[in-house]
Amino acid sequence: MSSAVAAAQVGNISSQPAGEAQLILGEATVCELVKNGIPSNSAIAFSISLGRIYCFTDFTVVNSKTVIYHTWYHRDSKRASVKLALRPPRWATFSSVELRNADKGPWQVEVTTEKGAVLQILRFSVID
Amino acid sequence: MDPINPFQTAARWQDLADILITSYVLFRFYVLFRGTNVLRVLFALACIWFAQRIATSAGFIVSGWISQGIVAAAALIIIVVFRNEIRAVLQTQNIKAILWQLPQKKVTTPLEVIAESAFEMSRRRIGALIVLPGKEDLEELVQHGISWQGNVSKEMLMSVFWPDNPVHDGAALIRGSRVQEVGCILPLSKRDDLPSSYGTRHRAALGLVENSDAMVIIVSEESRAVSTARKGRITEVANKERLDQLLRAHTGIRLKARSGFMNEVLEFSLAGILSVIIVTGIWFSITRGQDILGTFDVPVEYVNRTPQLEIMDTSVTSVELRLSGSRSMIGAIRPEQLRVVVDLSQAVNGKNNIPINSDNLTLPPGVALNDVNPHIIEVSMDVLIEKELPVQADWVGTLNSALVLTAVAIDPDKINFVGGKNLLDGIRTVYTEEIPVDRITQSTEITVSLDFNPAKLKISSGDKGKVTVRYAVMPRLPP
Repeated sequence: MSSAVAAAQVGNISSQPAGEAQLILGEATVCELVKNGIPSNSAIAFSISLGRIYCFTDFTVVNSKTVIYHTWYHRDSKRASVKLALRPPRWATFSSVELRNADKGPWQVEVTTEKGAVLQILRFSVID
Repeated sequence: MDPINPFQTAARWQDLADILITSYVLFRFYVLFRGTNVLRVLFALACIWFAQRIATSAGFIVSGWISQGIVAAAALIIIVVFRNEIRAVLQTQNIKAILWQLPQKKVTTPLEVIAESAFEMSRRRIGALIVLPGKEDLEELVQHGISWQGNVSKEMLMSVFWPDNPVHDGAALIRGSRVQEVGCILPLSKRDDLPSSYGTRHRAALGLVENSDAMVIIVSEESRAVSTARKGRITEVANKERLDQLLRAHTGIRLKARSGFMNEVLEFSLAGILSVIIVTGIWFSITRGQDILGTFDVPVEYVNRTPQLEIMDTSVTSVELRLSGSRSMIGAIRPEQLRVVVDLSQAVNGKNNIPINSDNLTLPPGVALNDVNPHIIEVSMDVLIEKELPVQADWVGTLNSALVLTAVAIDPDKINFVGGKNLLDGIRTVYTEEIPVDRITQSTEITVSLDFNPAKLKISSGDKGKVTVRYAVMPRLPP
């Protein structure tokens, strides 16, 4: 991670607890728009003028209905926790937050399993 | 301040030393100038000063102002008016006599001889004028005659005033057992109410004693009367015993040496006690009469901390103390004399509210605590732990709308911090300093500092406070 420029600043990926169905995260990104199930303009800095940003996650194989969470943090303060369901054959899902003027600054989205295992943390900023 | 026993709270060793030294100076002043007008004028000035204090406290503006002016000019007045007396003391006394010796009266002047000579000269119709100086200097009053320096004897005095002697018309000046000068000319009195029987000798004698504390013996050639002049008055003396008595009164020499010594001991003891009382009174008047308030900012000292706990935060670093006391005491307070000490032996992990009261304070004697601000200090204690925190870039500004900041890599992407457990438990990320995006045109790397409070967090040894941020930009795709 530290040696190559990643498509998003990610980190804190932990292994899933035993007994939980193995969930493999293929892609996780924060983007300006999700259109037809495809993220557009993935980035690490978003203008406040966009009004809304999205967190898109795509898993490789999901055998049964699975619940994941997108938890949004603004400067380490939890702003939203979105419960998302993955229903085969749909393996991708997304959440979004509306941006207000006070939302400038660094953000994180924590992608977790139903039991709280952190799959990925996406880091980005909201700028002018 | 405790009104019941103000001295107990006010007294410092410096004050006691101050009172003792000043009392001794006052006592020496009395010893050196007793019997002169200096003490009388000093007493008058003391009365004016006392009146000024009363006038000031009562709010009398004009009288307070005038008396203040007189007291302020007192030193000048004393030096100008009593320059002769001061000079006499300083010239005639050695340093030991000025600083610590008590005057020792010795029967050096043969008073009986003088008395006998005066009446012998009276019997033989020999006119005479004999000057016995007091404590005051006669330098500017007496016109010097001829230096004689002979031991006092009846024959000597009679020969000085023998009518054929060229100096017999002048006055003889006796100091101790010697006739110091003869043929001295004394200032004549300008009084016009003197009896017609008084001749030039009487007028000259009066002229001197009107302006000094000297005593003059006059032997009239015409009337054969023996008189003494002292304190502006001439008194005829009936016999030599009476003259001897008057001479002893003037010179301070008593027949019974032991009782005289005892009287002197009593006098000086009384003077010493009075000096202490007066100076103590003045000290109280000055130090207790002008209480003022002073505000001091005193840093807080934390002591007796449990080794396992660290102070993570305090609501204040210093406490404002409002102290009252005399102007001199408040003005003399040095920073190291004021301490605010907070005992952390009972402090627990987390927030502790510790009241600030007199138990926490160390104040110099003589001042009292009026108020303290704040009354309570909040001290956050915590257990020190080490925690690895991910580093995140803090982008700010406006990015060129044709570009998208697509990716970033930070090296190192995690930093170990040491800090309080409670604090670190609430921190998920450490951010870089703000990185402006306004001038970004292409992918590159920069080195930036981390944004954290060094008072609360410390980077573990081995880690650095700076990170390298590599980022990538791409042209914005059309929506």
